Amino acid sequence: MYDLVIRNGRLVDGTGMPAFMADIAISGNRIAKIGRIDGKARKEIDAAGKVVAPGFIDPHTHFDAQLLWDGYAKPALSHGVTTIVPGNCSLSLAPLKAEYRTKLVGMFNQIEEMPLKAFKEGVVWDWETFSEYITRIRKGLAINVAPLVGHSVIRLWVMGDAAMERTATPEEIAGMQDVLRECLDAGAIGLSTSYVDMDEKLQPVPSRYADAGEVEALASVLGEYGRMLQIVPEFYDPDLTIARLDQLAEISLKYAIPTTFSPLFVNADNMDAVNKVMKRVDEQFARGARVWPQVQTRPIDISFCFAVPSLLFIRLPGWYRIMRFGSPEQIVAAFKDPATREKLVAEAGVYTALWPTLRLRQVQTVGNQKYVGKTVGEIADARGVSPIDAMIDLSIEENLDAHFLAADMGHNSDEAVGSLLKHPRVHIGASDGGAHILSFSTYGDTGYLFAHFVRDLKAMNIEAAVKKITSETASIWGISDRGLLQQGYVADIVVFDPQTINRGEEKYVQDVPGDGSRYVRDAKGVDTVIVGGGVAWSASTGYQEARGEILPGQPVAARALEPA
Amino acid sequence: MADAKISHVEIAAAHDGEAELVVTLLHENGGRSLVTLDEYAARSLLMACKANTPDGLIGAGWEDVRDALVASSSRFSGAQNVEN
Repeated sequence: MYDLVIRNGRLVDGTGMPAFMADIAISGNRIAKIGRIDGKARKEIDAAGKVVAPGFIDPHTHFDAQLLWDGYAKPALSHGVTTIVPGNCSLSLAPLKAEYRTKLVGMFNQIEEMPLKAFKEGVVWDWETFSEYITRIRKGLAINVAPLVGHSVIRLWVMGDAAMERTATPEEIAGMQDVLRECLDAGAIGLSTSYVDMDEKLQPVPSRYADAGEVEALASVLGEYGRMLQIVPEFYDPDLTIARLDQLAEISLKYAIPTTFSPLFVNADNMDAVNKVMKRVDEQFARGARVWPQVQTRPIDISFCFAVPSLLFIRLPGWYRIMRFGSPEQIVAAFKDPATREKLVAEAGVYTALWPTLRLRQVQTVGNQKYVGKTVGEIADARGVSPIDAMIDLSIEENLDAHFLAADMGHNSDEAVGSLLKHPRVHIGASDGGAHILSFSTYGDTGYLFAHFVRDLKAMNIEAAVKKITSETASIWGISDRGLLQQGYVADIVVFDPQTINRGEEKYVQDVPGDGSRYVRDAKGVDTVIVGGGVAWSASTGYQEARGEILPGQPVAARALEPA
Repeated sequence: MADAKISHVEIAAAHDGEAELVVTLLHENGGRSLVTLDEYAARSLLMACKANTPDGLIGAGWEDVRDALVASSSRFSGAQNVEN
């Protein structure tokens, strides 16, 4: 008798081939058979009307800390994500000597906005080495984790404070190579580094003090294992991005390793720049290098409150002036002064279409909580005032601690983003799951992919979209036995309704240790998520079995890598 | 490079959800490059160019952009401060 059978589903198997009707039988943690399955199973799922696909793989996350108190990486798993790659951007939580815990927590707080209190109250620091960290998170793990080790922490481990001051000596580089080998042996899927991030003192993170020789020496170790190098290039500058891309290509060719860089954003005004980057990507792939740009599916929202100057208002000099030069008391006074307010309202007419669409994200007073999540237009209607007056009134009532969101302000060209997402040499990723938790939600990018780019825009078909975030990701990263619905593969599976899958509305929840809060999005249209043959989450019963594993990479060169 | 000037200014959404200013530098040979400025750098540039709005930056030279970036990146080492 099979342990689990999923019947009557439409299988999108991750190969990119057309969907087909079949049942799936699971024994233990593996797919035992695909076809018509006779007889009863210990557990059955009726997937009639639903798509059955391999579990999604998210290659760019920062769940390193959250995994210490939440082995499900909530709510990512409920969106159908069965494997995550944490440790991006040069930052992982191991290897880490005790004396540098405060330093690293500061970096995580600065770069990924992980609250200090969460580390203080949610983390028992009982590891130093990478192996010990893996042992620590393995307990209660419900989602698969393919962890990167961060270059910055390897530097700190070997060089101490000097990691934040200078290039490394040959002896120190050799020491870093040894540490990297230990991490790869312990289960790291690769190495991450960053050329842009700043620490808590707004100084460059340790990886940025490395010279090219150090990076190459570490890449040579990756070459011994055939593992991934992830970097954050100077993504705001296309020419510098291309220079890094060329550097990655040489490393990829020399050591026969895959590399990836993230993020790559596209807007109406930087199309030329993105085209230049992609042209070079194509050229380097043609040479045989592997330099995968990561592109996120979701648009970028801008958040603001009037206590902090925002360039969103720079075309409104009156507004920007009071935001910039006013104390909170002066700004409130300006909003209350009838003459000043009249001028501000008149000036705001430039953006008449924008104000009603702003969404209220957060307030402090009990009385205004009922408006959280609503648009300024809806609040204005409820109050019988204009949208701009509603925004000003709320800001006064909240002593400027009313936070607004302007949605879809960047990475928002449907045509350009859609073209990139389906490009054969673009890697869908860069979600940043688990990071920026107090600024915006980093969950639900997969739902958005299916809802917006597959269902609404028809920029790609569902088979191509599934392939992009399952088998293609597994191939790029060397994750073996996952990413496809095939007999003998590990049963990481998601059952979803193709007509309704989406990301839910962003909401503010208090579920971070230390009474901390974060922005999340619930899944829509996802029915069941299976990890290692066990139901890890279902829409009807919530979070269940914990069968997640640590997934060390396999040498990528040993696997077929033939993007469409 | 000698005569590269700002030819276009846009407000853009940054990776971390903040607004940023992207200026296009038009080079003598017709080439264009994009430079991204955070709030501090943008404000420094506006002040240096005595501009009230982003459009007032059109025509400013690349040296002003460079100085604004230096001001922003060195603000925590006390090199230059435009807070006041």
